[in-house]
Amino acid sequence: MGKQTMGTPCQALQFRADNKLYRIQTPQTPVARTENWAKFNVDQFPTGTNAIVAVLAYTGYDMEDAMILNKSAVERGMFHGQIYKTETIDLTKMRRKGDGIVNVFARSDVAGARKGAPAPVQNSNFVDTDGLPYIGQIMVEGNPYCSVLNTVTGNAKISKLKGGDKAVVDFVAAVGTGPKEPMQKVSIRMRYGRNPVIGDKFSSRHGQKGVLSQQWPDIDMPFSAVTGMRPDLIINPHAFPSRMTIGMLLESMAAKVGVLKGEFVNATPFQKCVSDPKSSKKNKDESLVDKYGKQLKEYGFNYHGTEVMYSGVLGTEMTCEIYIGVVYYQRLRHMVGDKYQVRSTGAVNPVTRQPVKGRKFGGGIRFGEMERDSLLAHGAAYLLHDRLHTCSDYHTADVCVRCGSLLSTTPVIQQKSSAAFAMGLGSNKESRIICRVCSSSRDIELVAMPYVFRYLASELAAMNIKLTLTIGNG
Amino acid sequence: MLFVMDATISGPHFAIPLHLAPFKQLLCFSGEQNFIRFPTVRIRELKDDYIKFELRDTDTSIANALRRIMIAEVPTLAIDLVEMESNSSVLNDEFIAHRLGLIPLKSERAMEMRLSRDCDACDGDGSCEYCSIEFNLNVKCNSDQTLDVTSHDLVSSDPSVVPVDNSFAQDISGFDAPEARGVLIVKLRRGQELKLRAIARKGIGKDHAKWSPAATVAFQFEPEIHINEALMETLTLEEKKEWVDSCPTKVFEVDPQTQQVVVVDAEAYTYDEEILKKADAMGKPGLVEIISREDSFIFTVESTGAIQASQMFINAIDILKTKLDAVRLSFDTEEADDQFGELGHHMRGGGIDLVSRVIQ
Repeated sequence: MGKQTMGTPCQALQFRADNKLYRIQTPQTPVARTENWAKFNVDQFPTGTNAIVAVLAYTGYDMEDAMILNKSAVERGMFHGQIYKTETIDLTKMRRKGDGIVNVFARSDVAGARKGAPAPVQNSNFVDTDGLPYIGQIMVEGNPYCSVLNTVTGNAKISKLKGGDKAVVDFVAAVGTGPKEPMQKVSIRMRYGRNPVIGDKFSSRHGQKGVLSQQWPDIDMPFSAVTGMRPDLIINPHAFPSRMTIGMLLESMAAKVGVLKGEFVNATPFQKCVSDPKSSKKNKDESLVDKYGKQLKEYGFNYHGTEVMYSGVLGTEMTCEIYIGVVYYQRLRHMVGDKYQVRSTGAVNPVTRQPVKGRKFGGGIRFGEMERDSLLAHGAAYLLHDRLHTCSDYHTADVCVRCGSLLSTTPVIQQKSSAAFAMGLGSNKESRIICRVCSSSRDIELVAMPYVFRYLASELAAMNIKLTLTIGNG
Repeated sequence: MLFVMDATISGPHFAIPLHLAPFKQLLCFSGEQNFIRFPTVRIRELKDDYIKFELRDTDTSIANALRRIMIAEVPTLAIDLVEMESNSSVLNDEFIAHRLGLIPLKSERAMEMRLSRDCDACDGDGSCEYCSIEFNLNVKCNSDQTLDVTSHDLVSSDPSVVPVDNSFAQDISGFDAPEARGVLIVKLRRGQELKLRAIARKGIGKDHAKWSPAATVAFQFEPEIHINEALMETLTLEEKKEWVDSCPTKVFEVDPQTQQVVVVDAEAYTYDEEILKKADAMGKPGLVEIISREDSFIFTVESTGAIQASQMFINAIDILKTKLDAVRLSFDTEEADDQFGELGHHMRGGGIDLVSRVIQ
């Protein structure tokens, strides 16, 4: 199994507690396979599906290494898969040396809990009295799945599901616990459905990888008048010339023959070099295309693996004959569901007040120098200002025009005159900005700047360097 | 159980209002000419789950519309909601629910039933007679042998809606034929249990492939093959054989007695033009002329068993009519002009009497 494929990672999946496992729901064994396939028992760990692949430019959604999947094929289970994530909660780590067992897995409303604690009504739907989740329970973000009770304080620490995905509790195991002492370590395995969506990555075994761009309705797919077949997958012919993956075209033809015959096809490379010269004398110089072409013809198909196809939308014959066959396709473990990043506003770095980075924290994607250059080249100054300032660390600072410092200004709260207070003009306090250096509240201007600029000024001040702003009109 | 009907069926059921095929009409400039056609259907082969017929005197748009409707819009029933009570099998809940959904159910009732979302007699909990059918499954393995849970274990609340059972179908011989055992859902070992409640609902293939009654619907244009006998006679017997063999399907044959090339099966021709290329390569272009008839089609329909293949076709025609009615009804209003432009205007004037005549 390739390291990127979503396949069958192990046979004992039910009993394992790996951090993260990718698993495909309906794998098949490839029709075109090498001699070592059986020798190494790869069939025990299948990784993909024999897809009916048509090579044509259809609808434009297969441009630039994108590919179209047949929506009905997906709905029937093609490339469905799951991710298993395991969380291990170890209470011995929370224990201080010399202490007895203080923390146990329990819901906070069980006996022994602090009296008068509010009953965790919403938790009881998800967490059983033993503090562990119900197997098969569907959970969304924020739902509790584990409760640890401190028997001394009576407080419960509740683990909540993170991430925006729906999860199902797959399996709960007590780890390393004897029958006498209370349970101190559990593994909770969550299952996340990962059925194909637009943006997921697929690949044949020849490195022809592509991104799903659309799930196209079955009825709109091209169909063959002879068999009525619609392809499961459409890829663009432009994927071939520059990459020269002839193997994929050969696999398509060979597997098509194999499927028609009901036999596996030997796709071992360099067969001619190692084959016994006595046995296959007459077919020695025959190319594979000829070998499989002849067999295709026997089954009433075109010699070159093409078929006349009809537009599913109009029912009319397509101008070209379409190269269609069977290719073993794999689903790769790069899925948009695990990768997409989006932010409007969110967490900021406390030091710079700029948006944080990282998908986990709801951060943004860096708008770097090169992107900045691009906007400058376009003269899109307003957009540049919007990206780098307004949407980032927009800040207004009071600057003393006299001394040019933005660190010496500070608001001072003063008592208003009692006369004004007596007349009922609002609060009796009023805030003024003064410059501590100039001891004056005149000539103070409010200036917009990135917050990091103030931070820079502070850092420089710490090094005994004064940063002075010269403020004028134009 | 195979019988071939050789009678031409026509009548209100099969007369498709072809003059509604809009674009054909727009292209007709001579006002005098009558473009009404009465398509006919001739059934060649009829089995429960298979039908092969000719559709004549209509055009591609109608043929393809019927193909599309049969695949995606003829309603059937399929399990849509599953409540798991106990599942200790090796497959997870979603997997089993998905497998249950794909089991074809006998759906003769589907056309009369309501869609669950349109049903106002219930709140979608499955106890509604108009829109849902309840199934129960309760299996536990108590032996050392692996227990196969199949579609036979599903207990239906409605005796007319049951999983498709192929064990009585033709062509299956032998006691242990895999088809006779129903659709496998999951295998259980000792101590494992599967207990669930499932609700089947009406739906169409457009929403989810599980509701599609069609395994395959294909149509081909009927070919007309004319051999240029004079030119053919210039070929030697060897050449004739070579030419005939160049076609991947068996369309032509050299008659052993007369040594003439004859068409044995015109419909086997797949429009791959191999035979024409061969003729060109032999230096005899025009050896054969092949015309695809734009107005006759040969349909091959295979059903999943949810409804009979023939019924599927009849339902498809009904649905097509309903859709055309929807178009017709909306052109009574003035907005129709905006909506359909020239087409709306066209349908409102003149064509309307004929439309209603055929539809009624």
